[in-house]
Amino acid sequence: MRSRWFSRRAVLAHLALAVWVPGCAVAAWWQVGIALGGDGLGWVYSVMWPCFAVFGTVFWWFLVHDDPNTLGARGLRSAVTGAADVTGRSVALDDASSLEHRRLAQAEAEDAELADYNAYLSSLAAQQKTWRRR
Amino acid sequence: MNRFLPAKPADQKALLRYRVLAYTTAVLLIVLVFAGVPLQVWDHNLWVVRIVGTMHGYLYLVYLLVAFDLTRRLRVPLPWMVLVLLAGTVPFCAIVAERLLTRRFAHMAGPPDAASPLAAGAPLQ
Repeated sequence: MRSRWFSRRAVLAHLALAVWVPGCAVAAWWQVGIALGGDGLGWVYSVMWPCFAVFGTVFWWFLVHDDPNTLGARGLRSAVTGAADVTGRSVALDDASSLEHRRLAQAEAEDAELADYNAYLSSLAAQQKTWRRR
Repeated sequence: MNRFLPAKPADQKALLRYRVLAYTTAVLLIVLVFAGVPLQVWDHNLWVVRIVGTMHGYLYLVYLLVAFDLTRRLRVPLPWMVLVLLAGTVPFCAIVAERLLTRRFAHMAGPPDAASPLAAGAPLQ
């Protein structure tokens, strides 16, 4: 929980929001002043600026709550390889039927096949031993 | 690392939404800056700035949403995501951002791999 709200990324997001929302409020207030001064276009902009503030808050919320392992370069890497992240949790594949996933699954299946084949060979070797003993 | 990340239909739609919004906001901004502002300064004619400026302002709101969605889907690193969002406010930059993101999308989706039987939908095993 601490890393969610106090990571470097999260603190930057908090700072950006702390500048953005008051900035939008000031701009909206300025446009309300223009509108009250007689220019009706000010009303249009005095609605737009609070929208920008709301969007900033939404983006901030996403930035704080997103798992950084699913975003950016790290997210791309985990999405194409389906690799486990540093915490050991497996990162969900973006698309379970993706080509890369199927390639990986095939490679795993081949490994299993190879293991089966090795077991078969060793069983043959064991049989050979008994046959020789006769 | 294999760089390909097969695109889902939803990603294709997100790309299309972004491209439409990027071009629309870019064209409006170019009209605003290169026609509206000179008319305002030299001719004291305000109607282009008032109409196109308002349209660009509200379309930029939509652009922000769509660009945020697409950059998250394409796993664009955070500093680049901020630049893509800001690109809608600088003339011509949204067009550049649209080119870069479309190229990134094509790069990530990768070419259809005809040589691989997996690409043809052959079952595993």
